[in-house]
Amino acid sequence: MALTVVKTTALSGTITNAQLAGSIDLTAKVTGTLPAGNGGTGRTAVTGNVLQVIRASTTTTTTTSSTSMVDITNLTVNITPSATSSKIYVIMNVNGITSAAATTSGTSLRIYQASDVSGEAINIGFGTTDALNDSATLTAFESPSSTSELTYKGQCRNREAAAVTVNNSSDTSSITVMEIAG
Amino acid sequence: MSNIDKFYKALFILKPNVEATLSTENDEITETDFDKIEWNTGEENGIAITTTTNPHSEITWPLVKAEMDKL
Repeated sequence: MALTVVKTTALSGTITNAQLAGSIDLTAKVTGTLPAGNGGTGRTAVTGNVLQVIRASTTTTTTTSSTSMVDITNLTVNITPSATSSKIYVIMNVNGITSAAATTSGTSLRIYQASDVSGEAINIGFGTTDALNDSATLTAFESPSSTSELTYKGQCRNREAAAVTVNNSSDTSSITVMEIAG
Repeated sequence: MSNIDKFYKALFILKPNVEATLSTENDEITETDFDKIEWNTGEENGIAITTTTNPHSEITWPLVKAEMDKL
């Protein structure tokens, strides 16, 4: 015959594994708040955590003969950092980059925020006679020290007044921004 | 040759080295697309200053279309 001993007085100190005699029902038998440091509620972000991600993508074709930077249509995202200590990581992927069939044409791309150039690729396709449907990925890591809304956009230009295109042939380009806890 | 290529060749026939930006959802270019062109009028800190009001009297949609049809 099995004998069950029930201790009715309160335990004090550290409970040993032997005293547990099995497992604890976490759903019904635990009260109190698990400390944030142990993954409980009220946990605050630590350096390097991703706090938010915002992405925009477009299939719209943008063609320009501009030799100064113009916005790539619909390749714009807005993000409002939650803290001035946050970092902003930007990834821009541009596809279907096509220059006029001339060795002197070359597409330049950049990530732009206010007056700040965050990442740039110069003269893609320059020196080739048939720069057709190239791709480029640009990244940027920013410390904006701001909690105001920030606008990140993709821009492009040609090195000469001839046509260059992004999103040629129904490609999709995108820009993604992440707020990283600083 | 794509319609975009034809479009820019037509533009440059009418006015060499004109700087303009066209956004389209497909290869077909219409007068509506033409009316939304961003025309460069200058530059500030490496960024184009643009307007959708066509500043080039020698470039009109009928003339552009006529040149495209020849290509």
